[in-house]
Amino acid sequence: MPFAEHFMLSGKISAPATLPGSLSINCGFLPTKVRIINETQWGQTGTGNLNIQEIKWDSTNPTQTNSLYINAAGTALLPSALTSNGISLYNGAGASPQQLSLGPKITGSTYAKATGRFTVSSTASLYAGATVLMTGFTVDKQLGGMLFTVNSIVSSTVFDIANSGNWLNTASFTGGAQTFYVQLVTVPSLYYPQNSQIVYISAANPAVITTSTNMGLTVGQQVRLYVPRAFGMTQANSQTAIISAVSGNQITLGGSISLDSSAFTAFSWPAATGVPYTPATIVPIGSGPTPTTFLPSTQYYYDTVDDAVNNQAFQGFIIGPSLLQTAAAGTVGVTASDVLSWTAWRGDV
Amino acid sequence: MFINQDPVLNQTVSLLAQSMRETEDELIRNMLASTASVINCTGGVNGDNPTELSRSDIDTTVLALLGNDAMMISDNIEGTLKFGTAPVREAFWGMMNTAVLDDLEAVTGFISQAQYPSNMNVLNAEWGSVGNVRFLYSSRGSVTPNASLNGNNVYNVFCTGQEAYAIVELTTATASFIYTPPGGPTDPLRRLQLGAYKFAQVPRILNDAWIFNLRCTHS
Repeated sequence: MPFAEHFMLSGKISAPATLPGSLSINCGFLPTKVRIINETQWGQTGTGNLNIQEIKWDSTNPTQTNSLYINAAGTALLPSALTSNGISLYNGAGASPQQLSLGPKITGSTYAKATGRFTVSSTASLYAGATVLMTGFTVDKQLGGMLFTVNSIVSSTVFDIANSGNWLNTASFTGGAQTFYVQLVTVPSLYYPQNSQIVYISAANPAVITTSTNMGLTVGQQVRLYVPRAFGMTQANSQTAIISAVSGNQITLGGSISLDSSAFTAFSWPAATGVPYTPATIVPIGSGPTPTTFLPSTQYYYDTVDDAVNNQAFQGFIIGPSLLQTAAAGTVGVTASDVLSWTAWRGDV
Repeated sequence: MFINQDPVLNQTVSLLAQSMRETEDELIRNMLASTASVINCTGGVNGDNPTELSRSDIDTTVLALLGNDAMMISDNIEGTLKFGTAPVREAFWGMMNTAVLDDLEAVTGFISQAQYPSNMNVLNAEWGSVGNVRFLYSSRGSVTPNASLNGNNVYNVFCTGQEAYAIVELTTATASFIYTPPGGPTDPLRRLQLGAYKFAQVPRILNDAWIFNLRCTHS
């Protein structure tokens, strides 16, 4: 019999400013019960929107999240039950020795290379900002095994990825009808910052790197590029530079150590016949030299251990995008930046 | 001094010690899987991306490490007059999952550790060598699930030179074992005792050019 564990933790958090979204709550344990009150909407009536007032989740029925929302006229509290993207447990420890934890396979049937829109059997478990693993491409095999950040959910069967127009819409890819599989990454690699696959490097000064996933890097961090011969821009291989700007999955290398790729050979993807190949990657290597401000002349401080990797694993729960979507006349959800007070319990015996 | 040993506690402490060291290793493994530069195996024939391990992939990794001035970890083992043995080159170290040991054995030039001329410097977890890499195995070796072209597991073989990564230990949080006997403030009936460990560490790649994640699938 395990030791009895009884924990309770509570706190407040704001819904994302941009909806839909998701929130990760670090409890330090895996809850068996969660209750959330929408403090902002509590008691608000007649807003015309179906605002959630209260959310309840219990481990005895873990796939279902129950909520109470107020009707548009503000005259009644009504129940709602979600079976996907509601409350879910998050065990950051993962399943050793696996680097990632993945959701079930979703079958894809076609994609448009001009827009980066992928058609799958269902997008119900996906959400904007989610990381997905895509495998099994029967035509464009170069994309098999890559991680992508979902840009937006276009419909119940279509999602797109960001900035695809400048790299996917080339002769290297065929697009169109083909079988492939999509899996939601439910527990990502534990450490930040991480490496990522490069999908495009602009020929510009400074160079702009497009990655398949949003790396979450910040201005001032130093990176190294690995560009195998198959990707054309060999001059960029092993170059290091400091980030001057970040926008989604694009990184500008115009910091105090910058990268001018304007005279480089164009970055190009290998054709499907070029599989197997080693991907082009970008690897964070630290903070880079930092100018000090307390000395009369410009001096640089450099410590390899600066910006050391950070273990982001935690145990707790996630409030999913089916709850954190914009409430409207026909949509149960919340309003951006609503204050949510939560309580999580664990009660093993 | 008379010590009344508790056999259950002793056994628990032994398990906790193993758990602590395995956890330390797993944290380092996870850091390397997140951050290390990658080379895909492409010399195999299983039709996947990456392919299974091949001699050309191991040689590519060795050349990349040497090209970045990485220093090898182990010295060569000179040949001796013993049947079935072969000299072992100066080597980098590769750390891999047990699931692909059969593919490693099939690589051209594989030398089992049992064929080393001397077992003086062989580690318990060493399986053998290929070219300038000696391979260590663990069932906890890093795996990225379903991440190949065909949706198969990708095995991360970390090939490292000297000083490629390190662990920063925090002075105030070095590994410690904790024992609380029965009869604590919340245990007036003296029913509960607690054995635990805690530690904090920061694993970190010091030079990304001196370590590569050689990714492969199973044949």
